[in-house]
Amino acid sequence: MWFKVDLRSPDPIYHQIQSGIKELIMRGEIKEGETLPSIRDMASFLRVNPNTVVRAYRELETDGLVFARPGMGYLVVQSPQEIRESMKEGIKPMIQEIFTKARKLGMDYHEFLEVAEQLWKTMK
Amino acid sequence: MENHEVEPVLRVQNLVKVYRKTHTALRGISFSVRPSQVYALLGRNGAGKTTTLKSIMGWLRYSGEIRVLGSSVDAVRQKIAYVPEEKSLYGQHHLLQTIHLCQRMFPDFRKEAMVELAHRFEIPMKRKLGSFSLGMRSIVYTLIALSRDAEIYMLDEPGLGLDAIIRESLMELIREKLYEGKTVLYTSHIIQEVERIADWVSIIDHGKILLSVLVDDIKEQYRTFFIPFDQEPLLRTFSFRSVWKKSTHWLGISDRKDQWESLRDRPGISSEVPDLDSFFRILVRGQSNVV
Repeated sequence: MWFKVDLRSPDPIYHQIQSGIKELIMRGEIKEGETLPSIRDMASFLRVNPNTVVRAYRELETDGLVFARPGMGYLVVQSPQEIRESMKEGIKPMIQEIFTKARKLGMDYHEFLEVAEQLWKTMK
Repeated sequence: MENHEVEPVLRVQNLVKVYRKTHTALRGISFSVRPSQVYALLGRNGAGKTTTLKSIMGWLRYSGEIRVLGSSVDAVRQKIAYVPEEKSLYGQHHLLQTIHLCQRMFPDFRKEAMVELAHRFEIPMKRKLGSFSLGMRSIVYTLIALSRDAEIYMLDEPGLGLDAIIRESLMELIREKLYEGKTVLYTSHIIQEVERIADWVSIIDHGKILLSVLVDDIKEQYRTFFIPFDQEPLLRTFSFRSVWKKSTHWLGISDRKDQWESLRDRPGISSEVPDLDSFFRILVRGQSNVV
């Protein structure tokens, strides 16, 4: 089972596919030097339009994670660590949004950390 | 995401259809379909979907301009596989006989493909079609069309009468057409279908196209806003593509990214990323182009 996409999510499907692939690479399920699942297989598996998968794969290529070899699929060219680093960057806007909301509520830094610590600890 | 350099497979410009004694069915429909796309016309019953397809096929008189593969439809008719809304077949024949008939009727019909599909969809070969359920007959018609090696497939409500499982298998077939470089135009009123398989969608209502959009872009380009009645003035000071008045609030669709932040800051306002379902509802039930 690779991953799922959620049509109800605010995240566009092609973006969810990109995230899903990044996760697969980080978990080591697709290794550096291996090729991504074919567009057909992915589109069938996720039950989405193949052009959506194409878009996702192309963006992964633009971001430097994969390299398209004509007739041979999309080759993974980044290591899990490199991907992790760039995904860390991607998380920043989300954290920023939470900070903004907390600030609007009038929370101060320590209050915020308390809540954050509590929630982190209760996470599996 | 646009692709301007590629010649459209189908170009419909300002299609108008007036039924003289009764009503105006189409009020100026325009859209283009590019090669290797799945294009959906999404609309309620009676919106004008079938009339649009029939006009494209040249079976109705209309005004406006329609180009198929760069020509008039008559010049390229043999390259189009069409499935009408009422998918009637000759009930006295069984499938094998129907297949032989199709071989004689359509030079591009591939018997092996049809036999394989019949097997895949568990359709008996030697039973009279008249004894099939509505859904079975419906899918047989569509499978026959898909077994033809046409350039364009025009399907009018292909999902009608089909259960969810068969619909999904049908979606898979449509995907395969994409891999073959074919183009599919289909009409539907089933939103989940469109969301999963269409590249582009034109939302049609009362004979007009309200919006044409790349399905993938909806979540990026639009937001729906919940606006309580006491904030009604906002409907005039901000730009909305469509607003729908409900019992206690308005729902609005905005494509103005530059306005989202300030809208969200207003008291009582909340926003959501739309899925095709809510997007469709607000467009169709609301008043479009307010302000």
